[in-house]
Amino acid sequence: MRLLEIENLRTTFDIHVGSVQAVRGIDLHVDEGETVGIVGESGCGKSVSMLSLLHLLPDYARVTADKIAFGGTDLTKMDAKAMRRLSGDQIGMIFQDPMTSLNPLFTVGSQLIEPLRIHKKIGEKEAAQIVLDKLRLVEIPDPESRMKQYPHELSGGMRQRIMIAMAIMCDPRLIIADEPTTALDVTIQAQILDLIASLQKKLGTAVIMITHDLGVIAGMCQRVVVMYGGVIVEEGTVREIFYQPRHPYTWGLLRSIPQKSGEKKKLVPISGSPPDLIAPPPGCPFAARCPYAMNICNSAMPPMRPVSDTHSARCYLMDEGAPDVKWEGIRA
Amino acid sequence: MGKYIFKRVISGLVTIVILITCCFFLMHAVPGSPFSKGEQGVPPEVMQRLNEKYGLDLPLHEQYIRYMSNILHGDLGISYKNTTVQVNDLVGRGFPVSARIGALAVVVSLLIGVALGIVSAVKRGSLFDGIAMVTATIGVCVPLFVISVLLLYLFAGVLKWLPTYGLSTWRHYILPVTCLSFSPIAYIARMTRSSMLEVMQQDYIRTARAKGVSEFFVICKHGLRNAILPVVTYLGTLIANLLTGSFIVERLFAIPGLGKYFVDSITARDYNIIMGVTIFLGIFVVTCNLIVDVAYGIIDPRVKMDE
Ligand SMILES: Nc1ncnc2c1ncn2[C@@H]1O[C@H](COP(=O)(O)OP(=O)(O)O)[C@@H](O)[C@H]1O
Ligand SMILES: [Mg+2]
Repeated sequence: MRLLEIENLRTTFDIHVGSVQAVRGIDLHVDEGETVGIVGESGCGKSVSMLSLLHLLPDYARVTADKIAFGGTDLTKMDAKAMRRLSGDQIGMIFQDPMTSLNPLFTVGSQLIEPLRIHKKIGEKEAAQIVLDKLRLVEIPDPESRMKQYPHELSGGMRQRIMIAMAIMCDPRLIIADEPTTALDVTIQAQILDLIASLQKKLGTAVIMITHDLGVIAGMCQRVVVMYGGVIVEEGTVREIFYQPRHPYTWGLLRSIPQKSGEKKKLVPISGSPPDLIAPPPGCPFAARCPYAMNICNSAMPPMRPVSDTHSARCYLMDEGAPDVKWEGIRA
Repeated sequence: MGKYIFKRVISGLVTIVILITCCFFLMHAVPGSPFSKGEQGVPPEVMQRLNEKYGLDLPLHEQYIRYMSNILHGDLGISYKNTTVQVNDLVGRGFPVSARIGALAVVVSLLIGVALGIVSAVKRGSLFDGIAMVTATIGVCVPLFVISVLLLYLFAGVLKWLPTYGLSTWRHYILPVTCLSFSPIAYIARMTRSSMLEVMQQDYIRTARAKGVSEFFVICKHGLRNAILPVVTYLGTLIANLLTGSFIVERLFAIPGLGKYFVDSITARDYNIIMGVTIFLGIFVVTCNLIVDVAYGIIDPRVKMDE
């Protein structure tokens, strides 16, 4: 069952120096209970595309889409007010930085109880009981006393658990986790990822996992969407992306995963920097950094080409007659 | 919390003792006795008797100890110009009048200033925002006496809508309170607007929206509580300023408040009144600041009051 379906989502920020074309027409779908990863370097439009969906961008952002459907409802016709009824209830959002995402002046308990008081018509006592249940679910020790504490009294990992509890408070159908571990200590990162993965299994909720690290995806996602310069350059199942990647950018991402298996850690960063989004190149956004770029890559945006039912990529190397460049694995 | 308040009370007391001491020695550094009336002077023997009666012939340190112990007993002394007048009575009469007008002005400034600031921030760039902020900038710049004279001339003089002096009915309060609130409203509105603009960009505001909190509560609960913090800091100064009476406004509207007595006593060089009123104001300001700091700590749990 389709839960979320997005077609041709575009987001532009009108600022004084020009229009930042942060998202340039992305298609995305998520099935009920499915975990989809979105990967890409920072600045490629991952957060903006999700925030566009939830109407969480500032008013100088222009969002258009041919279709946004969530559980059968058309979201393109919804205004911010109508969207508020969905978000926090059917869609839970986990943000990147737990240190700044909680209001410093309210107790954790009062912030946790808010979505319940807004979306479910239940009393204070019943709501408090649900909050305690959720806190236990995210493995927070001594939840009763945690509820009375203020965010600054908790560690980063603990705060992110609070954010997760908040996101699942109303038993949403979709959880969007925007780089939930980027701001945390390395030691805590794995714990939080494990927690999200185990919650996903327990609750059967669909998850969109945003990250700039393919390593995170491998462990918990069924499908992967690779974004670059505001567009999707490749998407497929985890197997397809890891074993038969077709886009040179995906190759670069795979090579930049730290390899722990060998004697030495081998990490190959992609050289160059992402395109200017105010005046994006007319062709493939990755062309300037791509070692295999041809003339056509600079002049016209390659279309999304299917490889299989689930796998497609946006690259001229897939054309007949193009130079024979093949993915030779991480070690190559 | 208790420990914090205790510490603050002690440091407040020290401040007040230093204030009294400075006042006392400054007053005694002024040449001449309070009873030397210009060139004519009082006959020497009369002067001698007066000095003895009020202890002015004693060595300075003894006078100081006397003065201090009087103040400890809550006695600010007498007016040297009119020895039947107690400074205590003067403050007791003047302060409630000043404080009543001042408190009204504080409430009016807060309500209007904060409301203007929020609306301007939320409707940033709109016509309302533009008009409000230009007015606020003028309000901060133009001196109190200009505004007071202008309003008095317009509403009492030309339009004759409001009475010009005294405090007999509620209508008498409108003009003085408006004059006193004018510049604090402008200041608070600007402060609230800029702090609100900053707060509304914070991540926790986005979190609140993502939870489905309505825009009204996002602004008035999650936003305002954070945005109000700088205003609370300013409140200590504001309360102290407004409640102790404004000389200009009290003069202009013939209000028998503390500000008027204070300045009258300065022109009359009535040192005991100057000191008494200064000390009273000092204690009042220190207390206001203490209360405001404790209130700040209650609003913002990050302030560690026990350290
Ligand atoms: N509020 C904003 N105003 C202007 N530009 C923005 C804003 N938010 C994001 N952008 C731009 O949009 C692009 C995509 O950002 P984002 O989606 O946050 O990247 P990421 O993939 O790291 O999450 C970036 O180039 C960023 O500079
Ligand atoms: Mg991001």
